[in-house]
Amino acid sequence: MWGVGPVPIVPSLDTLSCSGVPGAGTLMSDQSNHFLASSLNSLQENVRRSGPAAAAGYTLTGAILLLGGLGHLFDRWATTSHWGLVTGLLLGLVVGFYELAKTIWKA
Amino acid sequence: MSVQHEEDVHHAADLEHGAEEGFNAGEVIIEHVSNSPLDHPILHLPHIAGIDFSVTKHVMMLWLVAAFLFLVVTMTIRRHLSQDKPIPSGFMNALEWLVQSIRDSIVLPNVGTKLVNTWTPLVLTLFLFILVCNAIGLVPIFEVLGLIDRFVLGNGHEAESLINSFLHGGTTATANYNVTAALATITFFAIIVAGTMAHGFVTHWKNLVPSGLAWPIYILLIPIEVMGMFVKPFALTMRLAANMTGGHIAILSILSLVFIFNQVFESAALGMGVGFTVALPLAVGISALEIIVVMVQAYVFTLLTSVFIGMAINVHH
Repeated sequence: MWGVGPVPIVPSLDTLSCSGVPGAGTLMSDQSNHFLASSLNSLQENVRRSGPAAAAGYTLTGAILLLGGLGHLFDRWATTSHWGLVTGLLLGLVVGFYELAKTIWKA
Repeated sequence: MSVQHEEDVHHAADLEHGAEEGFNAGEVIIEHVSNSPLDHPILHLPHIAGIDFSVTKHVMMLWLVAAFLFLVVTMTIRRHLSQDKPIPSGFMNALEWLVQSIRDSIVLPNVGTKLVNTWTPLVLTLFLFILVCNAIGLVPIFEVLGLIDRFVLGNGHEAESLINSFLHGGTTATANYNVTAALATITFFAIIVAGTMAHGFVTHWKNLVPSGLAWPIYILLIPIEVMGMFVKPFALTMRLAANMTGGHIAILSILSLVFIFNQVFESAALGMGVGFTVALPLAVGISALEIIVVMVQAYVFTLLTSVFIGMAINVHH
């Protein structure tokens, strides 16, 4: 979907031993390096995948806040008690859930 | 009866006066997290087109951060280039790792290989700027200067000194909604420019909605998409500023317990006791959390910027 696969964040950890000299490290340090590298790669992959979900989540909240706020301002300007706020909140829900739906459909 | 009423009024007035004289946690916290007021700016500048261009504390912090980043990054890279070393060391090594990480783990997966080098500079600049702005807010530079001013130089808090003018308002520029709105505006235009560069001006706007739908659907979809366009930068604005303000308010609220207990129970010992047993450990814990928040918020802003730019480039309906 995003065009490219995961890119290792710490490629050097796969190739270097603890001492920094290839081949000089012990088996244990190689294993711990491998574990650290795979853990970081896994974390990076999770964070990368969570990007669109985070964007959808923040957009949902932002839409409700922005349009609800605009509705409230309209109420104060036009003295239409709460109709603007309710309409704004509903519009915010519609826009927010539309963005959320787009993210889910793409995935 | 009237004498009793007058006494009550006097008592109420005395209480009100006492409350004004005493510690007001809300006022202290708001003064700390907000920008310095325009009647106490750091530097007075004239009004241009009805806008007061006086330099407030947050503007000064923005300039300081921009100058600091420019000098540190430029000097580090120039020194590395002049040494003619193939492998960087020290701070240059860290800087190179950071640049590569942002490019490979944030921009590349979202934007794609073709335009990664076009958008990495913008995203990287946003990341570094927000990170340093966030981080500098945790360093009590001006508070320490204020302590020196009070207890070493002996100036009162009403004295007309330069340090006193620095003590109005907090130092976290990214806790100011105007600053985060400006940063989000950059993202807003970057999204439009990215879509236009990738598909052309007209096609970018056409891409906002899926093609091939019945026309009544477009009457609903186009306004929703247009509102969605503005909601994205709004979410960025609120999220960053709210997160940066929230941590400071939490720390200050907990530290305020010392003065509240002191005032309510009229016991300095109780205030100090609460401070050492409750307020200080909690404040230290939240400050440690804030260090993580500083990095996470800079990361999330840049990640979301990359995602939004990527959505304009890689259109899938």
